[in-house]
Amino acid sequence: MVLNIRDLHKAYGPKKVLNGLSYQFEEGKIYSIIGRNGAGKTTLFNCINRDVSFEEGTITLQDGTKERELSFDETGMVSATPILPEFLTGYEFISCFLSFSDSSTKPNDQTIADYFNLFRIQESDRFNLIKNYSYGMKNKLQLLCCLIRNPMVILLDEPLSSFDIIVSHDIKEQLVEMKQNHIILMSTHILQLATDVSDEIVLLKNGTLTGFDWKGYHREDYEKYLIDALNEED
Amino acid sequence: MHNLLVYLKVLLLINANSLLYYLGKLPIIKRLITPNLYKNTQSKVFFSFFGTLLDLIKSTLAQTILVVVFVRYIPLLLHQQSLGDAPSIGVETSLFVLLFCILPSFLQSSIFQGSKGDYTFLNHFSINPDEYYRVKNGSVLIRQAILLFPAMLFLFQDFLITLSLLGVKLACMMVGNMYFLNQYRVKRRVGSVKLRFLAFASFVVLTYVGVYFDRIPGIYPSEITAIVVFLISLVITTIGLNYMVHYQNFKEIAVQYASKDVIALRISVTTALNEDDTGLVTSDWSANKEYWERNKIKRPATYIENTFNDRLRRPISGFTNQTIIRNLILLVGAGILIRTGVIRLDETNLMKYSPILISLVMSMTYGVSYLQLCFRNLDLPLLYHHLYTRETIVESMRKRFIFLVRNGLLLLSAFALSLFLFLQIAEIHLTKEILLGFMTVSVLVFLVYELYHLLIYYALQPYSSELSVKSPIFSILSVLESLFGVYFLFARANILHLILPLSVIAAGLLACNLLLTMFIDKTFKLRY
Repeated sequence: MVLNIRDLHKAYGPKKVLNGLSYQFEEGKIYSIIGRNGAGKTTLFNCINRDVSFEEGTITLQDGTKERELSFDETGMVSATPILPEFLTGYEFISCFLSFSDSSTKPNDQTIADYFNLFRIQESDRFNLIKNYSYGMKNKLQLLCCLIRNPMVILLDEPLSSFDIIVSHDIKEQLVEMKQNHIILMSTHILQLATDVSDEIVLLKNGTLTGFDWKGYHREDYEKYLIDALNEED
Repeated sequence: MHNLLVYLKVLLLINANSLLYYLGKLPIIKRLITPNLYKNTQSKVFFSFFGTLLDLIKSTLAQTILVVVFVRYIPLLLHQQSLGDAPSIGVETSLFVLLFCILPSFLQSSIFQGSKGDYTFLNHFSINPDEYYRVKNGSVLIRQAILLFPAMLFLFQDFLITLSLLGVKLACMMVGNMYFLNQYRVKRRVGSVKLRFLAFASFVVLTYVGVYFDRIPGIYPSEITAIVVFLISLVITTIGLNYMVHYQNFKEIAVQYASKDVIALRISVTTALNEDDTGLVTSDWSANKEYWERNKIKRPATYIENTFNDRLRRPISGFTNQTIIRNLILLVGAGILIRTGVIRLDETNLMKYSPILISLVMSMTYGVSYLQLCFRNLDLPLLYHHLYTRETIVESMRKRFIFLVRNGLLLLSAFALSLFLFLQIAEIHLTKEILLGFMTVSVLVFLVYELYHLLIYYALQPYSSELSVKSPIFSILSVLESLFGVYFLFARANILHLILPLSVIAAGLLACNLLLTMFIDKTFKLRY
């Protein structure tokens, strides 16, 4: 499968955020999208996730020779700011989420427990109100939702910035494991994370995406290259 | 001095940017609002001037209406009821001093009343709290003088009296500030705002009872007296300003009272034991697990709605209880006033004042607040995660309608009881047909408003993920709804004639809601 974005234009009033953006993302790879604050990373993800409309362009999923428009069911997004029903417990939310995601079967307790075990969430935390969760815990829950839906395209908006080192490590491994059957796009400002898990680094600048082959460089060199590239005048 | 300039500059910039942002939302005009206007210094000066002017005009208009209604219109209505004539200008002067100078100064001090400005200047601009509060106090004084001046000149038609009353207003504000600041210095907190409000409301009611009985002494100052009062007021204001210059605890006040951000859409709820600031009832995790085990058999949509109503029962039942108690106090109080002859109302003229019943029932509707609560806690995350389908949205709409009707039945039953008590105390004897008519109108008004609230919520979904109102149509409709409520307070007609039109409107709204369910997934979306 290949995610094709062609000539994507998105503006907020007179401000052009995405300016004829085109790129191909392949299944089995993790892409780190790096750009300065306000470059349009979240807007790009919102466009792919169909949360906001765009003026021009197409976002399609290509399966061999067949190509179709990317549907919402095929995307899952984990946003930087968790939005969750805080009056529910984590367990209640995940259980209802599982039911909503697949209305044909009722999730059993073992399935739900397996998901929580995957993210090392203790029983006392599972039955605590989401209101009382830390920022990192809320993000874990969001990522869990994404995992449950198991969409082809996974969008992670600065995903690991709030996790502790153990969970970060687990999730990095989880992402590497998941990438075989998915297209994973991850926006991040942390270069270490990008190079640890990504197959490709893509720069978002002036509303367009440009691939960056970092593997042939030493760390100091690519860091300098990235900073220079992002620093260049528009 | 430097901070004063920063403060003024930021205020002007906020006004300029607000105006530009507002104009940028208007059709056609928005094409003229280019980013250059935001960065061009000359255009910024121009928009700062007009933005500030518009803000002043808007606030002056609101203040003028408030003063005229409370100092002239309401006393006029009461006086005409009791004595058949208008209160004298001297009584109006006394009322202004009481209601707009003395009482508000002891209700709240602008220092302790947190605002968006406090957060912006103290946190974002890191202005020294000592200087910020002094500047804020000065700007509040000047602003009050500007806002009140037109209303006072219109009411009293005399420049000297207007000037002296403005002096009294400013002096009272400064005395109030000194009182609260001193209280804070000694106790490290100020008294309960609820108690102060209760005292304020009681004094206002007593003042109007005094107007009704013609017991408010008039103030008729001569030119010399007006000048002397003005000079004394100036001295008091200067003492107050001096007190503030030497006050030492502004930093603590900033930490305690100005650290809260003001969110546009905020559902105010009481804070009590075992409850956080949203009114959510929290339990131990094992109790939550038990709750889950007991209810997990339910369908997910039902489980979520029921859990929502259960865990947020405090703000929900709080509204119901407050409404029931308020109606009881109002109607029993009105009954006593009629019984004692203070209000001349009996079987012959009761129908003329019956539209007040509509305003009362309107204030009992819970739709807007309840749906806001639903959005903030439930609909926002479910919409965000795309968990809603047409079927589940329709189901939530149906459940919420049932909830509002059930809540309405409770409120209307309590209201019927209060109405019965009112009639007994007032010794007003109505026929069964009229009583039945009153209750039918009440039920219909309730139904119309709750159906209307439900319709606009699901048809417009006016809120954004930042919890602010994004739909201008919704804002306009909300203002119109408030105006309707005020209109019925002063309208004079027999409301029994409204049974048929209200029935038709209710049926129409029900049909619109049913029609909406066909494409509700297209309208009920998150605004970005």
